[in-house]
Amino acid sequence: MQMITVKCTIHRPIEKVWELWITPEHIMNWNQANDDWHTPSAINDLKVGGEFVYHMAAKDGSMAFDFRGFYTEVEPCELIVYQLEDGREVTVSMREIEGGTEVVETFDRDDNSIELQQQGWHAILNSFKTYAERMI
Amino acid sequence: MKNEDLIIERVFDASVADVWRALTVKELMKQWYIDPEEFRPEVGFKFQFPGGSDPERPYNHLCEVLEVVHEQKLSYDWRYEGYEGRSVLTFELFADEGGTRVKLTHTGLDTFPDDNPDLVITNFEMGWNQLLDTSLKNFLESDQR
Repeated sequence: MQMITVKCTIHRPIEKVWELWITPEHIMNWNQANDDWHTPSAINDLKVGGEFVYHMAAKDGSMAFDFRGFYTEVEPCELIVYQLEDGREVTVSMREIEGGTEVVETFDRDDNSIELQQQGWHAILNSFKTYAERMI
Repeated sequence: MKNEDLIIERVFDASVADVWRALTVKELMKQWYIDPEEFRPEVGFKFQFPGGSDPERPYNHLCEVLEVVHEQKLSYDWRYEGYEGRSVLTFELFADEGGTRVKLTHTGLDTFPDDNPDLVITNFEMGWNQLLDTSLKNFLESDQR
């Protein structure tokens, strides 16, 4: 199956990036591709075999779905691998780089076009970047 | 006691007067930096503004202007409501080869709780680097001002 990759540099320490990535209270704040959507609830049991369910919904109530799957690999501040309900696999890797953290997501494509999927995942990753880089 | 002062220097293609305005005029500050309700570069002036990523856990900044030397130096304290610690932020401006050198000094970061990943020095360091390298640079060197 063809793999798609999206990546992004977050100008924040890796420990902080990790914490914001995995904590439900934070996930609910950043997990959206645009302002018309949000994540009103998130459950995250981060361990091998553990499940996650991010409930994603259009703010006007017109659409909603659960982004869910289970973890197959977890290395703190380094790597997360999970399998989605439909069997597709997603790898999230993080590494320290000069001035911040690089986050790379690699995933199997679905029936949508590669461009569309790349855009969607990239938009969410960008939303994460904006969220993580807000001034403290 | 760790020495955790943060010092960052950058040169901008802008006049000292323009950089000073970017740092002290509320309407300009909010375009690249922070958005306090009011700001005046006067010793003793107090201001606050929200920060942080999580609306459920805001970091409300409490600041008071400590020192002002027009177009040369601006210093204010930088605390967080509900958190221990007090830091001091200082901007110094120097005319430099047709541009302006900005020296940012953030002291007292080691007075913040060190078990909070939001308040560790590397987080501030990356934050200020990004603010100067991207936000202030774009603001000062773009034509949209």
